[in-house]
Amino acid sequence: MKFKSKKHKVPEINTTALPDIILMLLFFFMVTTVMQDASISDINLPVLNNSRRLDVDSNMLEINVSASMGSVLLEVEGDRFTLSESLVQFDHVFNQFHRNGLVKQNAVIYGDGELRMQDINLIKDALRKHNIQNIMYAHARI
Amino acid sequence: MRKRRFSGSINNGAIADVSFLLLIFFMVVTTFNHQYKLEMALSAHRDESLVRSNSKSDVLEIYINANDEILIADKPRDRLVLDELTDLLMSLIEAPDDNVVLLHIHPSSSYEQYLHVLDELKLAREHLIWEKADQVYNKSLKELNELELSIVKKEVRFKIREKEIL
Repeated sequence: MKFKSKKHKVPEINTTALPDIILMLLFFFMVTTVMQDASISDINLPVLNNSRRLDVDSNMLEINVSASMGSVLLEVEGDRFTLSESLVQFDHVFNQFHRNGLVKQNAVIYGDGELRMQDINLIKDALRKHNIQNIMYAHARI
Repeated sequence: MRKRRFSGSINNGAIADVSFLLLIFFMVVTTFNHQYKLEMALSAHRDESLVRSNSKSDVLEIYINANDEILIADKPRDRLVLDELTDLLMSLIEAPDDNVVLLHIHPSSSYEQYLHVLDELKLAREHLIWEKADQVYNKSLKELNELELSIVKKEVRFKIREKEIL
């Protein structure tokens, strides 16, 4: 049976704008993306009320301390080691700085909130040996 | 060529509106994570034995025990309440010379609790500076000039020392 098809023609989505949109998104993300150092990402910083912003500059030694997997993982300038191993490795990392002529005066500790104070004390002992003057404890804000 | 038998039409005039709505929603809602810092000068030794320069300096002792409880002067408190802490600090700084807040920290206490205590101490200090500025100069903090600000800060000065509970 033939019947007249009085069907409307299906309007098609006008896709001429698609490459424009995609390029726009691409440029947006190219401009706004900040590369994160490939570092320990499972640190839950404690949440506090303090309002001093942290601006990291090259004068600061960044220490990432995470407490997952039952052991404390320490990462300093890309070198990663567990804290239960001797702090000799920590000294080794510091000595590399001195050899390269980089003198750091301040240290920033990105520590997970559930760390025990004995771990923090070990880190502070190591920092004292290397003449660090100020410590900044990084945290998140509500 | 076969014609399509069933053809519906989606009215796609609304797609543009919806996409703009979504875009504006995310533009408004997105926040970037800033990181904040709590700065402390690194002490010279791990266990700072209390050095009283003379009998006029006063000490406020705060304990953090293994269960993350904060005890001040043997009275346990669940959380440091800012008002109580400012009162305690107020009586501390009345002593004329070096006043010390001594933190006794158990090695198994959590880092987060330690930072909470430091944070409360700093907030209490700022609160006291506000009050002092109001009391002495009758001005708000922003109206003080450099000299007045340094005088007020000097009045509300105390050192934070740490000691390990063995």
